[in-house]
Amino acid sequence: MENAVTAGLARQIVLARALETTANNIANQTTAGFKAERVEFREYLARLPGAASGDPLVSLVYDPDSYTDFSTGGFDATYNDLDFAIEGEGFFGVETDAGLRYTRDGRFSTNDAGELVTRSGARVLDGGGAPILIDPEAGPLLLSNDGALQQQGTTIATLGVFRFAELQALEKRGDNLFETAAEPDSVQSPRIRQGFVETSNVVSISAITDMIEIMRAYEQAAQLIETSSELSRETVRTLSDAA
Amino acid sequence: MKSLSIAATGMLAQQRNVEVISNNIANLNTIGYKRQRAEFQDLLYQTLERAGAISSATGTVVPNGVQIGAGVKTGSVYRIAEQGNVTSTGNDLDLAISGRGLFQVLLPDGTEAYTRAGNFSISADGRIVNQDGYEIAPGISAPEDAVDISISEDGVIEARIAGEQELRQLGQLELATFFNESGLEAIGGNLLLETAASGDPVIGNPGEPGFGKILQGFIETSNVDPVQEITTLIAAQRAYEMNARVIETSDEMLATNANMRR
Repeated sequence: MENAVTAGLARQIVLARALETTANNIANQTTAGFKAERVEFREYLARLPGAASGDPLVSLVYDPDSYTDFSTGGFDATYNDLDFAIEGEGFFGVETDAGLRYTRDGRFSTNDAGELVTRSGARVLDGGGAPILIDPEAGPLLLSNDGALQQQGTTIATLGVFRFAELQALEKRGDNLFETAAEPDSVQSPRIRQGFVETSNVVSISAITDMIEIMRAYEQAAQLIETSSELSRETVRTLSDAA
Repeated sequence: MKSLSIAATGMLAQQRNVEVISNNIANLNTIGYKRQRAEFQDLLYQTLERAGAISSATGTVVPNGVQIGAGVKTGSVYRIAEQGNVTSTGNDLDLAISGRGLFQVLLPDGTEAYTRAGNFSISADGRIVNQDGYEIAPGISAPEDAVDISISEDGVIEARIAGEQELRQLGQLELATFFNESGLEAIGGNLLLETAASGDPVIGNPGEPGFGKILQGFIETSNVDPVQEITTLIAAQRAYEMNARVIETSDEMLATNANMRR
């Protein structure tokens, strides 16, 4: 009889965590370059305390993995020369105080030294891994088709775009940044759009339906626990009446 | 239940978004106003210690942990320095900059402020001042008997004096540019101040490389695009509602548990 309660409880724990993930997706639906997170459920078989060795194992659920959905978000035209969006695969490489990070959020600006930086002040790297210096007096920054940044017709740097064989090894670090120990490959001819921002890839409709599903499943798990304890109560009452 | 606080950060961010949008819309007709954009970043992640857990008797391990985010924050409110439209006013002292650069204005406390709003006037003592009466820097004064003031594309200010044939040169208008123009601090009155983030001003004459040209008799309107603001507003409102739904859902889930004991 305890099995149903334990199974119900296990289900409620994973569902509460799934809701947290969905809540984070919904909270970040307007965060540029954000990639949605999904929780994976898996069955595991457990021998509950007090069970005899011949008893069948109880099937419980747990959430061993959350994985990131790296599908490309939409593109929003901003007409801002310092906004960049990568079409297709790859990440911008940036240098933070804590080390190398990667991002799909291409909303850059310049710092007081004239370097191209992200909103959190991390330096944007070129194809060779060096910061990009912009001359403020040399006029507007233009991006040519092959990823080269030009001012007055002179190429000053090439925006670095990096790709990874195993995307799931990238871990989120906040500030729209990803970290990984894996060595990146350079994307040879990246397609970058200037004046565009990649929007979050959270699909709000499916986030809402996910949430409704989670809530109903949670209620069902509660129902399971309730029904099973109702059964125990009924059994105790019936047996004591018979006595 | 952490989803309550995660959704709260989402609502807070969208509230900030609506504040920025409403300020843009309110300044739709403000001369030289640059629209702003609220920009969001995800908050830190809590990595639950599941990565590397053994998933079979042969020693295979789970490759990833569970990463749960803590929500969203407003990373910055970015000022977009895109050129606004220029409209003709026919007024001698209405100046618009076509291209990069800001006019310099001397505040009463002696510090310099920067502005794109070029609707200047002449003060009682003949000085060129902005709408608050702050003198432009370097200061330029027109003689009392000046009939006509003309300002060239490269910022040379000349006046026609009654009874004189030659134009008299009054001075040279200078512009300032910054490495990081969006790092300037807005203080209201269409004025911006230098900060550590913006870097030091680079001063130059209009028309020089990297500096815009002066258009006399024109003003630069705000660069707010009402259609874009309204669509962003709609998106922000829907996002706000969805975050509120998360709070509702979390609450209902908590209520389910609270009502279980009968």
